[in-house]
Amino acid sequence: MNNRPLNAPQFSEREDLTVEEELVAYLDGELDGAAAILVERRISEDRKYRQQLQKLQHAWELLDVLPTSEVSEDFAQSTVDMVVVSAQQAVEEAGLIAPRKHLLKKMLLGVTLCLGCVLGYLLLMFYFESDNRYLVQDLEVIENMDVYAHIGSMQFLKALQGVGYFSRDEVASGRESQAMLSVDELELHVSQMNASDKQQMQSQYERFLALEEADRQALRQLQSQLRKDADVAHLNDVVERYSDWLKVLPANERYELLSLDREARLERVRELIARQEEQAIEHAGRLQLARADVPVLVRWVTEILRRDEVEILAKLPPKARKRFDQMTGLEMQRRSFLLRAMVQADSRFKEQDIRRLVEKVSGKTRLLLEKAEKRGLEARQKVLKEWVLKVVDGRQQAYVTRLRRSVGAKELQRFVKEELTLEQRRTLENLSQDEIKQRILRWYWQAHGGKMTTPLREPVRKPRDDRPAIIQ
Amino acid sequence: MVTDTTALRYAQQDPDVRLMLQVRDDNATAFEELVLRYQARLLSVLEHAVGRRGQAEDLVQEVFLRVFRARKRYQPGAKFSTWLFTIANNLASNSQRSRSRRKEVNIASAGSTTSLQPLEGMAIAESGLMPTRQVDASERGAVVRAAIQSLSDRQRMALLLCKFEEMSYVEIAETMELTVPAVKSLLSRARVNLKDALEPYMQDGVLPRSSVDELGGVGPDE
Repeated sequence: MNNRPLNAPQFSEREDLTVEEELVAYLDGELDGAAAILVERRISEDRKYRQQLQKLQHAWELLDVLPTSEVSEDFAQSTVDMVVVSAQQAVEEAGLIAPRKHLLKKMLLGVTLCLGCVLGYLLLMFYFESDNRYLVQDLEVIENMDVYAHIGSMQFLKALQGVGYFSRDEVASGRESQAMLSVDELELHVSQMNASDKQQMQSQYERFLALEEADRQALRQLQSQLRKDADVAHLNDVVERYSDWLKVLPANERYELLSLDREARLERVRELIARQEEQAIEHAGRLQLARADVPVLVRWVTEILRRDEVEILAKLPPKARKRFDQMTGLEMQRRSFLLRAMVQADSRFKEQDIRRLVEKVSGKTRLLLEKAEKRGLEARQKVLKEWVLKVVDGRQQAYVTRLRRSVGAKELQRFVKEELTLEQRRTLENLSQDEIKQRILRWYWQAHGGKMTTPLREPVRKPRDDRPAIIQ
Repeated sequence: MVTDTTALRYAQQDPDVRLMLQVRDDNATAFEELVLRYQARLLSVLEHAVGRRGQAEDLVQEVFLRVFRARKRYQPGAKFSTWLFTIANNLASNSQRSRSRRKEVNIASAGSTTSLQPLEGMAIAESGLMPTRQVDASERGAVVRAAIQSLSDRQRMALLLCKFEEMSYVEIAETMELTVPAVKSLLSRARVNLKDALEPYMQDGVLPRSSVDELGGVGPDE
């Protein structure tokens, strides 16, 4: 990047332009303090010099009229697409030479290719056989140089293992085997690499060689200690998991992390993991439950509701209790109300309740609960609370929609005209259109629900005795 | 050769270097982010450097393609923008050389919103007022573009990097692979030539001869 090109200006060319050079450098703020003072002194004394400066400055300011280019919205996408297509083509071309129209061209190309292949093969052989001794010796270091550089020392690796997040009780078999390969086996491994892997390895090797000797030595030392450690399989697993974890960190956080010393870095790793797990729990709570798990969840929560109903009612604040008592004839609303009251008391779902649910839900939902389990009972309660509220809201919304359909518009108009009190009319004045409809409907069923034995025109269903009341 | 310390220093100082390192790790989102951050900046410089919008767009895409292809070899040895504009400068220079070999006629800045339409241009040309006619605000851009096009390719690129990218002499030197004194000389000659080209307009507000062709001869982009 810093090579001087052949066509750089000669010194003699520049001498004629000393005055302009000086003025331009002054305008660009590239003169040092003393030189700038000399220029300023001359500006104040020499009219011609001053005029020259003004003209240069004016011409420079005129460039401001040039617009900056606007880029269309799809330009970036087309650029990325073009790069993807080009990359695919490069891959295809590497493996498949397209047929040529003319025989001569074909032959020439064939000969060139053969020569190229032979030459390439010889070069690769030369490269991999002459330097292979060194490459093979450092193969594992080279393959893992980035992550080793991030880990730095065996102490840090052991400390990472202690974080828990990166260590597993069981690791896949073979995790230790690579570390135990002999030099001959490693050499065989390199010789069996395909062209693309060899090219990548070569690029890694060049990067490794570009490191300072002390840095290379530190990486080798880490790898050597790792090999000798009795717990090599688990530690290799930690290396891999830490490397994967680093890759998903935002770039700024990754570099901030790498600039910290060992203790501070470890502390930051813990903080970041805690934050990620917190986010994962929030995310799990926001996820849409699998359709098959919705009735399972409803049955489960209804069982708890039945069991604890007396206790929940006893703990309701007086105002809420009064509202609940007014919901006569509205079984669904009463249940939803109680459920809401129940889940808002966070500690309602007990360990054994959750364990019962885990046995019944689908694998995906179970996995989410198991992930939350690592963060304790409270985290699982939080996820379950979100799910139950979502289901209650969804079912209540569906219920209100069905209610609305079951009452004719004329009947509602009559109700508003004849039965609403002045106070109720005033309440409606402050509500939105949707809220007005919902509120009228609620008052309607509060006024008439108790008198009706079947308030909804439900579709005919085959009765199932085992289903809880809330979903019947 | 870039040392590890240098690389880490640039990575810590320059967020775009960090993005590029993610691109090296095959992170497509990081690449897209770089495209979004730099496409307009590159296009501005290249459009004025080569004088054609379509060609500049092709060059911008080619720059990003080169960046992508070079990702595995990337070692931070400068600010990311310096590295990117080095690629852009090399591509623009090659492109200009190919054009001059093909002896193409340079129809500057076609497609610009400030350029006159062919018929209007013809009317102006036939009015007898050129070249001493007063230049109005809508034509100022065309006058300046014509003046820029009158510079040599290297002078023009140095000027654009200095003006649009606000690069220091050192950064321009790195980008254009020159020494700092050479950049100093290049920029001073560029600015003197620019001043000379614009002098008639600056003194009397009249249309300089160099922009007659541009105003009268606007044609299709390619």
